[in-house]
Amino acid sequence: MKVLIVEDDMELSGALSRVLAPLGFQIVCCADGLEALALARRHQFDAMLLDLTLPGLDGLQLLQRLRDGGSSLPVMVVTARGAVEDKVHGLNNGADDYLSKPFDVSELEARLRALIRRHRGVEELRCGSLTFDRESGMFYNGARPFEMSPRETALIKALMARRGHAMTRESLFDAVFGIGAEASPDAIDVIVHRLRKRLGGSGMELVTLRGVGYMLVDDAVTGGARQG
Amino acid sequence: MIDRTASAAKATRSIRGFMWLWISAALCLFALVEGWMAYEREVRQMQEAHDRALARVASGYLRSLRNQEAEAARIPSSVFREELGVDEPPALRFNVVDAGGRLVYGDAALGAGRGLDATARTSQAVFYEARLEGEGWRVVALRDQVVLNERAQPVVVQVAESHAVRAELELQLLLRRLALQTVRLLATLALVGLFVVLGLRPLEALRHELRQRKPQDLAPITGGREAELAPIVDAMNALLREQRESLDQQRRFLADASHQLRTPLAVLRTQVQGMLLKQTETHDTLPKMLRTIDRASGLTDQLLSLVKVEQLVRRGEWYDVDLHQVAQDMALEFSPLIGGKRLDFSLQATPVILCTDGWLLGELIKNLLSNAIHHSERGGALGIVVRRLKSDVELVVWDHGGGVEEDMMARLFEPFNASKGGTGIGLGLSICRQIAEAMGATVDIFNRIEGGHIVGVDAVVRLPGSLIKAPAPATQSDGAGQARADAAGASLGAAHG
Repeated sequence: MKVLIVEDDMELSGALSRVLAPLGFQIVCCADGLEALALARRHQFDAMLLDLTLPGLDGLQLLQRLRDGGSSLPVMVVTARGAVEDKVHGLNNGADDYLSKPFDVSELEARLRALIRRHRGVEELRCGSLTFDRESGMFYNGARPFEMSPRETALIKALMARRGHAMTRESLFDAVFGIGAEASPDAIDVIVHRLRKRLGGSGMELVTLRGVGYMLVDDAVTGGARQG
Repeated sequence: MIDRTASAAKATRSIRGFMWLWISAALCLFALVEGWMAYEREVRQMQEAHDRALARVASGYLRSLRNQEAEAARIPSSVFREELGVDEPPALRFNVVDAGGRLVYGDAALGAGRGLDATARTSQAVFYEARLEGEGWRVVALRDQVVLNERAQPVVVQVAESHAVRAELELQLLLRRLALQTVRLLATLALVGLFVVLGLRPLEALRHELRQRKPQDLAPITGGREAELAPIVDAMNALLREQRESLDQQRRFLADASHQLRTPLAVLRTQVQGMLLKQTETHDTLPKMLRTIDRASGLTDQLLSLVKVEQLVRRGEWYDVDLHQVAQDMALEFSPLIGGKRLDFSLQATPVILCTDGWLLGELIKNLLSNAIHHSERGGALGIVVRRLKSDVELVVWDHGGGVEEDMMARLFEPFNASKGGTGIGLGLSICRQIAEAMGATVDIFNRIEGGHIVGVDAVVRLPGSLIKAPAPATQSDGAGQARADAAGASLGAAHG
């Protein structure tokens, strides 16, 4: 996976290169906006890590020109500007993902891989030992097929797509029954209850946030409590 | 303190000039009207006096005709002496006509007179205007019986005075009145000017005091104690006090923040040097360094958050916010941490719309929830309760993560006072209090007691009823929300220690 890092802080880009290279990424670093634009146009990359504050050409301008030129290169904006407005602005300008500095290298790696997978159309749904095979449309618990009803499938797919993040009961209801369906709101709880029983031993857990919704977690999701 | 260039550029209107201009204009107008009215009154009085004198001369002449005292062909000088008190006869014209309108004595040009004929019974003086040889004259006519040619017969005596005499007197009166009014006006204007200057002297003194101040001088203004200036000076002093307090707070905060940021840097440096000198093991030190960096990052986030809180509070643009929705959004945002620690989370919320700022409210809940998660043991229970009280709204973020020591309780909301073991950054609750105060709300921390033991903490935010806009539209999960929130709230309320 070839990644173009556009970052004017040479220490940071150097450190990122050293960290990402052993993880299977082929890194090209560039500290100037205009130069980065020329590189992105001339060579084939799988993704771009883009800092917003750059000499030559501002990160957002670079992104704009890249998209204006018809490029669909996946771009992850990495910047110290953490405000929501900046994120929205970046995403509106054609960024595919946004990561605030300072970031966790494992989170950067995971999001970079997910970005590339999404772009290649081979995003994998996985949680614990449960995986979803897009070709067959089947779930597997380890190597064994895992039979599920269409509604269970819809629910688990929605939760797997946001593994480790909770979804509200309302959004799960829409994902399972469709927007405006006339099923009982408690139907989601029934499906969750049934699934929870069946998923025992799969290394994943269906966690309830009472009054909010549900989330899928597995051992890979680790908690690091924040401090205040 | 004052941008003099800007203030000078904007100082296009002077209070003194304004007062001068309008008081002078009003006084001039008043002097003009009053002077004109006085002049008219004096002219009228002069005319009446001259009419009375003419009538007295005519009457004296008649009397001398009746008495046949002297030569009848002219008015005797004794008449002028007696009636007007003058020796020199004034420039008067006169005549006497009989009942047939025939001239008996005097000036034929005066004619028989228009005011009276000799046959008329009245003997009262009649005045009229006449033109003789192109000149205006004021004429008085009197009738009486006199002996003419040894026979008593009625005659009319007419005495006339030239308009020119009166016009000259009118001009003299006008000039005198003008001079008088001008002197009075000038004297009044001088006095008004003097009092305007004296009256504005405190303002001038205040201006001088402000001009002398240095931009960084935030000491209270001492001048301007007059009744009109005192409210302005008090308001300015209140602003200066706020500025002073804000600056002091910023100074304290900067000192604290730089200390807090230097601390992890010092720790990092020590850790790196320890490794370089091979005094510490790399695999032991690196995770510690990561934690140090995380802590410094968290502090930076909170410092930025504090700045944004201050900006939003200063802007004060409130709008409708669904409290339940904000609480739910915060729970979703923290769900990775909740899931990571497999915490038993619950949100029990009464629908309520508040007129406030959504980001501030979110930040308040975020900090309290972050603390609750941080202090919760793996698998522990925590949650958020929102309920309507009689007039207020109560938001409680509760946990089972142990209590706060009594000596720590008083300092919890001070910046950089981390609670429960001191692993926190210590700005979160300070931010919470700042947000709560901006909303007119209160935020307090209570130890949660169950079975006689402190098991956790209730962070209670009491939002004033004035913020409540309306109950939020009911959602599918809200039906039992109120009852659940009330039940949960009741149990929480009883558990505060």
